Amino acid sequence: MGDKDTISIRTKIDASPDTTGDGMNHSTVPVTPKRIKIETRGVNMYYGSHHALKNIHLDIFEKEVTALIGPSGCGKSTYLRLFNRMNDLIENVRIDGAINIDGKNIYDKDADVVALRKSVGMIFQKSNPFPKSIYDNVAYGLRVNGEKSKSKVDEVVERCLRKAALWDEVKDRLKTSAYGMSGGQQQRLCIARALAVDPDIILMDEPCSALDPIATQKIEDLIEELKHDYTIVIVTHNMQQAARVSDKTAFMWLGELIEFSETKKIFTSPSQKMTEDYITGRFG
Amino acid sequence: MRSLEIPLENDEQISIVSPSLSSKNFAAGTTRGRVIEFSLQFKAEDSDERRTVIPILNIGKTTQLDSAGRRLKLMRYGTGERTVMVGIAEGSNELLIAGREEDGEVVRMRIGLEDEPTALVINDFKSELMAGFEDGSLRVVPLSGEAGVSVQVAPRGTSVTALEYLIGEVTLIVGDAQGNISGWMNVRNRGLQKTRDFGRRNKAIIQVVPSWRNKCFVAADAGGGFGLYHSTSERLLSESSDSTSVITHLSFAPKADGLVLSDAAGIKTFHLINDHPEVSWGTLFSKIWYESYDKPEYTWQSSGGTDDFEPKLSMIPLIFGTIKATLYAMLFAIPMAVLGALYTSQFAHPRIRTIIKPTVEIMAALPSVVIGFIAGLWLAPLLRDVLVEFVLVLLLSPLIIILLVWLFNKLPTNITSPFRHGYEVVLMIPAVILAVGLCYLLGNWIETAVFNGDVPHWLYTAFDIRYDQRNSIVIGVAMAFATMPIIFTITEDSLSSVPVHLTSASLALGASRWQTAVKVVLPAASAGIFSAIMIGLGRAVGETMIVLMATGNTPIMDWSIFNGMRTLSANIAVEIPEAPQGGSLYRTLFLSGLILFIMTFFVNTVAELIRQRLRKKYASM
Repeated sequence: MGDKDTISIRTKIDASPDTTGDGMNHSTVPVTPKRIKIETRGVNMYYGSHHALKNIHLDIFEKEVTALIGPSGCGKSTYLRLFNRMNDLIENVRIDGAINIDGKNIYDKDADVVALRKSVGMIFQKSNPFPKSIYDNVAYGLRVNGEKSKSKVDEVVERCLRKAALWDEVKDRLKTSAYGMSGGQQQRLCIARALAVDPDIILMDEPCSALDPIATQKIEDLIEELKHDYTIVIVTHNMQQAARVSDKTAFMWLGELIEFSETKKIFTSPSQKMTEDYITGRFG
Repeated sequence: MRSLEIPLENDEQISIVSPSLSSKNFAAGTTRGRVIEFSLQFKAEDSDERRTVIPILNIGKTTQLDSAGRRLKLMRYGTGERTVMVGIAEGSNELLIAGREEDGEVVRMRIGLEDEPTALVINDFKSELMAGFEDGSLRVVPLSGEAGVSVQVAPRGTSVTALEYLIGEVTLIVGDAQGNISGWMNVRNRGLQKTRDFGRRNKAIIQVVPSWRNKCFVAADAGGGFGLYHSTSERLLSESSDSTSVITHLSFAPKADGLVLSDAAGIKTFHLINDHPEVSWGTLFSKIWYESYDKPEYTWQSSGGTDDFEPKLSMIPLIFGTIKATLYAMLFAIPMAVLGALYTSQFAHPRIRTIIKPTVEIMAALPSVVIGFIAGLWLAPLLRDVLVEFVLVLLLSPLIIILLVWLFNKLPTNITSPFRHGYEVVLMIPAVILAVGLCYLLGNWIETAVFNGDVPHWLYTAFDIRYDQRNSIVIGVAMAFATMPIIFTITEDSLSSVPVHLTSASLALGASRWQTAVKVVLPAASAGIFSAIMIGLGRAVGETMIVLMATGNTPIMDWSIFNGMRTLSANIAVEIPEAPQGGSLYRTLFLSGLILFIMTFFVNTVAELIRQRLRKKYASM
C-alpha cells in the first residue's frame, strides 16, 4: 500500500506540469464552433412553494467542461440534477420549461428516464461505491443493462478503470471490496462506474469537496482527459477549480442565472458586479 | 418382629411361593405336591407413643396339585374370575394345571412337555403359560390345549433360570444361567421379540421381581448380588453385590420404596430411593420400543388411564413439532413480510407508507390468544371447505396480479399517469379482489370436477393422506399473522435506512427502481432483514397460544402440511396442570422449557454471528 501511494504521488508530480500545459494550450487555441448538447429553455422549478430555479436559459456545448458556481443554496446542484431527472425522486417538485438534450425535451411525458440516465452519468459529492467488489462496482451498470458476456464485461471494466486512471492501482485487487480504497480512489471508481454505461454527458456534483489536494489534482487531471470524449457539467464551490478545469462558467445566485460565459472572461472581466463580488470573495 | 406359620402336614415343607399380581394373594407349593393359598392383612394399633402393625395370616383353600404327592419344583398362581395353579413336580416333564371356577368346581389338566422346564410363568389373563428350558428355549403353551411355539431366548445351551412379567404383563423378563437379562414382548404378526437388553450379571439369575408400581424390576443372581433395573429406559439403576450368601427370596415393599431380602444370614431390608427411573437420555432423545408397539419409535404420551401405563417421554416429537410449526409459519410470513416491506420502502408513495407501516405495527399488538381463537374456531373449519380455492389463491393470484400489472404498463401513459409515483397500490385493491374472485370460481369448479366436491376425502382415498382440520396451513396462516408485523417493520426500517446515495448511484447508472431495490437495497439491508427474520423465527418458536388452540396438539412426526403438530411450548401449557409437582412429567416439562431456551439461544447466536458478518461486509456505507 505504502509503496503504491508514493509511486502514484511521484507519477503525479511528473505528470502535472504536462497536463496543466496541455490545458493552457487547449484554451488558447481558437475553438471551432461546437454543437449545443444541452439547451435549457425557461426552466422554473419549485420545491412545494419554494421557487428554487427561476427562468433559466443556458446552452451547454458538446465536449466542453461547464462549471456551475455560486453560493450555497443558489440552486446549482438542483439545476445539475435536472439533467438526469434525479429530482424526480424528491417529493413535491414541480418543473416547467424545457431541457433539450440533443434537441429532445427530457421532461416530455413519453421520455424514457432509464435511457436518459444511461446517457447522462453522474458523480456525486461524496463517493458512493456500492458495497461490492471494485470489479462489480464498475460492472454494475453493464449488468443492469443486461450484459451477460463475461469477456465483454471484463473488457469494459478494464477500459473504464484505465480511463479513470485507476487500473494500475487496483488491477491486482479487483475482487476486493471497494471500501478498502482511499477516498480519491473511490471517487475515481465512481467515475469509472459512470463511464461503463457509455454516457455522452457526465454530471459532477462537487466531486472533490471531500478529497485532499492530491486526490483533487488527480480528479481534475481526469476531467481534463475526459472532456475530449464527454460533455462535462461540474458544480463546484471551489472557484480555483472552476478556473482550472472549465471552459465555460455559469454563476448562479438565489435560483437565478446571473452570468454565463467563457471561464476566462468570468474570472478576468465579469460583466456583472455581483459576479465580480462573488469571485473576489466579497460574499458567498 | 413377628413370624406366622402356614399349617403343614408332618415333614412337609414349603418348596415354592408364588404371588398373584392382580389380587396380592399368595400360594405356597409344598414338598407333598399341595398348593396352599393364603393372604396377608395388616392391622395397625396406635398406642400413646408408638404404632404397632400386626400382620394377620388368612389361610385359604388347599389343593392337591400333584396327585402323586411329589415335591413341587416350580409353581405359578393366578387369581381373578377363576383361580389357576400351574406346577411342575420334581423330575417331571408334565405341566400340572388346576383351575377353580368361582363356584368352587376344580378342573384339572395335564400337558406333557418334551423336556423338564427350568422356569415357569403364567399371565394374569390365564390364557397362556411360558416355560423356559435348559437349552435356552422358551415355549409358549396356550392353556386352550393348542400347540405352542418355541423361541430361543437365551444363548443355546444356557438354561433359562428366571421368567417374570413386568406390571401390565406385556414385557417378559428372561434371566439365564450366564447372568444375561433381557426383555421380550409379543409384537403384532411377529411373535415374541427381544425388545430390551439389560446386560449381564456375573452369576446365573435366580429370581426376577417386578415392581407393583412401575416398570422397574429387581434381578438377583446366584452370587448373592442383585440389581435394580428399569425396563423402558433399559437402565441398571442400582446394584448390590456385598452379600456373600445366596439370596433365597427378594421382594419389593408395597410402595416400591424398599426391598426385603432373605438369605442364609436372615432378613435384610433396603430403603429404596428410586425417583424418575423412566427418564434417561435414551427415553428423552432416542427411539424406544415401547410395550405394544410394532417398532422402536419417538413417542410423547405422558400419561395413561392405568397404573401399568408406560410413560413415553420422548422430546423429539415436540422438537419436531416446534420446528414444523416454525417452518410453516415462516413459509407464509417471510415472503409476505419482506416483499411487503420492500414495496413499502422502495416503491410506495411516502404518504401511503405512513398509513401502511403503523397499520401493520398495530397488527403486532393483537393478542395471540385472539389469533389462535380465530384460527382454531373459524379459519380451520372454513379452510376445510375452501381448500382448493385457498391453494389457487396462493398460486394463481400472484400470476394474475403480475398479468394485470403488465397490462397496466402497456396502457398509454396518458391513462396511467394519474396513478404513477407510488399510488399504484390503490389500483392493486381491485386487482387483488378480481384475482381472488377468479380463483374462487375456478376452485369451486375444480373441486366439483376433479375432487368430487370433497378434497379431504379425495386425498385420503387417492393418496392415503389424512387431513386434519387443524393442520399446518392453519398454523402457517395464523402464525404468519402473528410474526409478519415484526418482520415487516424491522425489514422496512432496515430497507429505508439504506443510504440514499447508494440508490441514487444505482438510479443514475440507468438501473430501474426494481433493479436498484433488488441489487443494491436488498443486499445492503441484508443484515437488518436477517435480524428481522430471526426475531420473527424466535417469536414463532416460542409462540404458545396460537399453536395450542389451532394445531390439534397431536404429537406425531409427519411433515405433511395437512397434519397438525404439538410444539414444546404448547406441550408445556397442555400438560402442566396434569403434572404432579416434582414428578417425572413435571421435570420433563421443565426440561422442554430448557430445550426451548437452548433452541432460541442457538438460533439467535447463529443469527447474530451471520448478522455481524453481513454488517461488517456492508459497513461504512
